[in-house]
Amino acid sequence: MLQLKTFPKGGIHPSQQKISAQASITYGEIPKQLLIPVNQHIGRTANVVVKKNDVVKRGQLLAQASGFISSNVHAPVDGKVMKVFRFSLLGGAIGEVIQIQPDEPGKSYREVLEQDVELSVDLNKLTAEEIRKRIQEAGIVGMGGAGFPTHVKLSPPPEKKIDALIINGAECEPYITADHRIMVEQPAQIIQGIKILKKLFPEVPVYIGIEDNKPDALNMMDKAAAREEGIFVVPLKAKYPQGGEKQLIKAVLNREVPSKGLPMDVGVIVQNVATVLAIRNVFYHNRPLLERVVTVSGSLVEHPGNILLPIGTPVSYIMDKFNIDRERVRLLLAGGPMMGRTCHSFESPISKTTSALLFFDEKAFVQRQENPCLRCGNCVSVCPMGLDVAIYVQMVQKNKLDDYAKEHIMDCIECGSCTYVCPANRRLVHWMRLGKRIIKREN
Amino acid sequence: MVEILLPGFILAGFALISASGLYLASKKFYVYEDPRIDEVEALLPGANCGGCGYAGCRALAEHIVNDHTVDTPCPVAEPIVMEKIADLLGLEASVQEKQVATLLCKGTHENSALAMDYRGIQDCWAAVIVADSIKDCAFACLGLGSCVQACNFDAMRIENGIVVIDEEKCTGCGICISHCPKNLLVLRPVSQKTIVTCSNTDRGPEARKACKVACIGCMKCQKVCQHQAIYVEDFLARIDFEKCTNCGDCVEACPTNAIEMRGEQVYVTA
Repeated sequence: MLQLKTFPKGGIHPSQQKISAQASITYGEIPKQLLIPVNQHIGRTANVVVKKNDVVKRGQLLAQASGFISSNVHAPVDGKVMKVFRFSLLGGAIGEVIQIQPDEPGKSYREVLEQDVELSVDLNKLTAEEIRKRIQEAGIVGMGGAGFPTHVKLSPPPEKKIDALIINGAECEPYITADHRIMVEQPAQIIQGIKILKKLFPEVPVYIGIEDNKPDALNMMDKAAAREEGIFVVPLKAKYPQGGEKQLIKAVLNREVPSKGLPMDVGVIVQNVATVLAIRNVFYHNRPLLERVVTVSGSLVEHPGNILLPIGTPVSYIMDKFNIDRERVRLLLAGGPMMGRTCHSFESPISKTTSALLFFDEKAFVQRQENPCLRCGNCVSVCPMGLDVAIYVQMVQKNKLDDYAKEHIMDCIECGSCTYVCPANRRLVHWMRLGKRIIKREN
Repeated sequence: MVEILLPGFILAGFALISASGLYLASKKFYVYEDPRIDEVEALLPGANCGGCGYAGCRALAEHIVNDHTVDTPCPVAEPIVMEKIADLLGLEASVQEKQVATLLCKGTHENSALAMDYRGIQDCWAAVIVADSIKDCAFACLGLGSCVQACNFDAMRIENGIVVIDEEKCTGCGICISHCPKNLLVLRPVSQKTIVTCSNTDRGPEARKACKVACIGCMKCQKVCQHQAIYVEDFLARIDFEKCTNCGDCVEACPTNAIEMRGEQVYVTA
């Protein structure tokens, strides 16, 4: 039997729970109001360029990037700016949002999308600078969860030679199926996006990493990529956190990103499939990043599904659409159960990086007593970054981080594998994040 | 007889050689240290809190004696201590008033309700990773006690969701200030009684919605103040301690009780 590739160190096998895997992408309607977060990316906050009572068109710039590592934000629908204020976002942070009253609430978003004409793109006429510039203007960010501005990733310094491109279709988190459905339903469009990226890095092989728990996605992407030269679909053995950049590079190319390094240090650029699709839409529809596919799932959702929504749609709209009883929701997660963030407001809007919304009742929300460390070493053996988690956490708890810990704790990718396996119910990943925060504070 | 004396002589010989070795080493490797460093260190409180900016009391004593200056007063010690040290070195001590840490927030559970059921690690910095604020007010004291843990003098405690500072015990070392993720703690001279106990820079209606005793930036205090000591910036009143005379006009004018007159409060020490 063929041995499938995966990353060698650590990793866990949580229950897959991909209950929405066969639910094809549906389209939402334009909600009564949209709250567009200004800061949906890593980097400097964008500057709002609209005022109260401004009339905005679909695709119009709402907030201008305030530097290179920053990102533009656009209006997803025609409407009127009601106000700009601070509001709690899905990540738990409180940030500026632009409230937009759409002109046509209740209109199917599918109709809005169908109005966009499909342009024919002559790849030979596009220059690398033009591609980078248009991606930057369109406000494309990594849609896998981190939200790093894509144009920054695609502009490596000249001394870093890129010799491989990896398209991340691993989607290792339980429950989330947004990327899965994109790959099943729009494989040809993803390939079009990859071909645009290939213009930036000619002659560079492209690997599409997909876990073997998505055979239909593998099949569809395989068929679509078969006709293309230099695009290879790499089936991967399902293991969490394969979707992490560093783990994916190790799995696909067997290269190890150095500590504190970036993928470009080993000549690789990783892009999520949803990001590639967004890049494709910039060129084929002249449309900036305005919408995304969100998986709605969890124990409280009767019919879990994947829905395409304009960015800024409040969670409450999704709850009405999926008939979720507000009273019973005890836990709302933005993202997957491993790395997702708990949220406390049903009015918070989805952003460019919200891949899933999971609703759970009290059964999923069991609070266990945090016990002393048993020194079993489970956390160390599952850590995909090879960190001595238990030792670092003890140091953080006693507020006595030594140089060794300070050197390595920043390598933590916060995947949550350690917390998942800890028999003493220790909130290891939270402590690790606290440790990272303390080091940042001291510097 | 010889059997008894011989070991004695041998031992004595060793002792002589070792002693002379030690004597020579102490001459050769002698490091002069100002004896006044020990005297100054003995006068300092010995809390090793680091509030002065030096690694501990010994390091401050070395700085005072070696640089012959009392420019960095010990924030913990009584003013009389610095005077004594200055006398010892023949210097003039500048008398500084005692400072105390002050929380610029009154967001107790009654005033600003909890926005969520936070069950993570009981530490303010751990909480701000998960959510900017666990209360309705985005600027409120989280009440998880990172400052309480940092305090070396047992002067802080959590009461009803916010930090309460015992001004008797507080030495004004300022350690807690850097341990507050919301930047709510400041040092103020003990005689400064009037303080704005709010840090919310949101607009009035939003601030009011978040907390019952929030400063709404109504400017009434600024108008009523005869000494131009209070001014509103970013919808939040701020007091210039140098100009303030603690007359109490602003306290009476404030519609939301966001300005407070300290001093009448009775601190119960356990």
